[in-house]
Amino acid sequence: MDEAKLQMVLTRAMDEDGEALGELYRLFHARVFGLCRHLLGRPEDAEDAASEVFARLPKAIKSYQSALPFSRWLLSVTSHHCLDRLRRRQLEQRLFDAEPVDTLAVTAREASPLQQVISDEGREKVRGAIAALPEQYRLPLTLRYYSDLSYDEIAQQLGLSRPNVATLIFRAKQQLRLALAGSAGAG
Amino acid sequence: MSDCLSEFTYSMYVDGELAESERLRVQQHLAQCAHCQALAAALETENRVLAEVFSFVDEPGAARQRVGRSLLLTAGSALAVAVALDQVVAGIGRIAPGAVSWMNSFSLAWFQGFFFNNALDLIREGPAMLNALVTILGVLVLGGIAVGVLRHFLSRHPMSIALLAMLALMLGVPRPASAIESRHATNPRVGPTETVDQSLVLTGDHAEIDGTVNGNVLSAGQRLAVRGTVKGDLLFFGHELEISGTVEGSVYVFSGAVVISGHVGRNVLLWAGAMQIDPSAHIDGDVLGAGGDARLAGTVGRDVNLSCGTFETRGSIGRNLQVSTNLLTVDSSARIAGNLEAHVGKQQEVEIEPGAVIGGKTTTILKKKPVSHYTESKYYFWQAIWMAGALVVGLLLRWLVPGVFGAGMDSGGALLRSAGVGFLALVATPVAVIVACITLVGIPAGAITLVLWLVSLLVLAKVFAGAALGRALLPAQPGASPNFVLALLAGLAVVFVAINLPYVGGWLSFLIVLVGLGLEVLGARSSIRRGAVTP
Repeated sequence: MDEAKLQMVLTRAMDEDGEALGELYRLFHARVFGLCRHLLGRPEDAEDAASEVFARLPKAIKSYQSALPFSRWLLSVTSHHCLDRLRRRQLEQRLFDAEPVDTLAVTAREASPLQQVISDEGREKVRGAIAALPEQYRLPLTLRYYSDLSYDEIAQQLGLSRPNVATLIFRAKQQLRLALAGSAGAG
Repeated sequence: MSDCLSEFTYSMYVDGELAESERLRVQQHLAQCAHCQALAAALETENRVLAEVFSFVDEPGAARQRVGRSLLLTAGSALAVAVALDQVVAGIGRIAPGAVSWMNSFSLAWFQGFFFNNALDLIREGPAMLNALVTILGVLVLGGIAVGVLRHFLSRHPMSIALLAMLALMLGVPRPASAIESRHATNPRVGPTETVDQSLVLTGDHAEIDGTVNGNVLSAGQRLAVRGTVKGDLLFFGHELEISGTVEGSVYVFSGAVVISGHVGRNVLLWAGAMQIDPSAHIDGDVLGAGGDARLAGTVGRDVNLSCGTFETRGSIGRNLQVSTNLLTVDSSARIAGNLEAHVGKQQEVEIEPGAVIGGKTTTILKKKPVSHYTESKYYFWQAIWMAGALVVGLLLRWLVPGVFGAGMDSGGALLRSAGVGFLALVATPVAVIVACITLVGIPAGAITLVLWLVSLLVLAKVFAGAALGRALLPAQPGASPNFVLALLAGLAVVFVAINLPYVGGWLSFLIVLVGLGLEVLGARSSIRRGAVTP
């Protein structure tokens, strides 16, 4: 859908036009669901969360300003919602332990299994490994490579410092490599 | 080279997150260092792969489709089993007609045997059980409040705690003391010289009434022998009842065996495995009921109306005899002042010996073989009406509360969870209603809950199960959620076929209602929560 058409749909949606809202659902549901799935880890929670996002869209969309591309705004709303859910899920526990920031001096590694993933089966394995990551690694990783957020934006969403985010993403990738190397011979 | 930078730095570099000065420094180094170049390239590829992996997301429908397919398989096998069983039973029926009856769970003999062996113990402990149940419930509720308060210290659900507190208060209200005399013992007795001036409740193993009771007698136990006099009615639930004395009122009995050799002033209503009315017995009123084997040798003042396995009479019946049975024997010394109407399967099942006196007409009515309702079109018509009604209810609900048909069938685990919640709702609700009604204040709330529960069991649960099933079965189009009406229709169709299957239908119905009830509760809960949170 081109920019102009999307603009029209958005304008109508802000007037709570049912058809326009339905169109937005049709266009973005898959992306929203995907993000929820990666952030929340449980498929049934993801479906629930995605429907909630769209249920609240009629009211929420009124606060959308076209400075930001709509898809990014929607994904940002979605990740906020998912993070809220995660916080509720872990009442007393904090999502992230306060980690000291240290730069890691790691020697160069060989080409990791992540280089060779092309087949569907391989992708499935990687997705499985991602879903198995602990939340503190999975969340920043998802926000970076699914939602394309910058470290600053991720830091803002998760309430962390920028260096902390950088470290977590780096460690997440290391963890992934470990998990994948351990589980298989050829990717 | 000594000024190779850390992998962490390269990682941030390929993510484009380095500050300008740092970035230039890395670029400069990479121009000179093949080793680090390779590393950076590897990291870049890794990023690309990650982005690609993330973008291929499992469509929401795919997981459901898997569940849907396995459900279809289960339904298919259930249907196959049912059809096979039907054929086998029909085959046996042709070869040995009598053998089939025990397979039909609702044949009288089987039912009575099962019922007596299991229900008797339950009833015997009845009063004590109710006390224990209410006490346990009270402890559970108080415990629940304690746990709830601790766990949800920052609770967003003050309403549920208030509700629990209310329930606890209600349980604290003392219950009215019993106004009838009751005796619970292993062998409760009313001695030969004893007179009980009020109604009496007797529970125990072997009860005996040798004296006089100036009221009604309610008894449950293994055995009751009435040798004395009961001025009022007698109700008995147990294994054996023997009346050699006098009951001036009516006798209501649910028992394995009933032997009457004494005097009953009014009627006898019974459900008994074996009934025997001795020659010395005298029943002034009617005898009505159902049983296994019935033998009448005494005198019945008015009608005898029974449905039983076999019936033999050599006694005297004051008015009509109407009996539905498999074998009717009227002995030569039998006397029936009125009409005889026999409902039997075959003419040969009626044997009237010469010498029997029948004052009125003798009619033999052959019982029709029950037609399987599967062959009647009327049946399908009503099922269609039911389904249409369920469809309307489902659509209405969807329109009123859009989010209530949420997920629930996405995986085997979610399915089990729904079934578990459904089981809880099934069992806990009537108990909660009883507790609420024990104090008069809670009756309106209890009544409303009961109605809701019944409606859920009859209709709503199936609607929810149908909706979830339908969405699981329908292929998901990319980017759009399957049409709800179609999904609901498909799901309900499967549900209605499943619950109407012979033999397995009952079990399937139970399972479907369990899961549906669970989905209903979960859907309601998430709707309430959604409504409570401001967008």
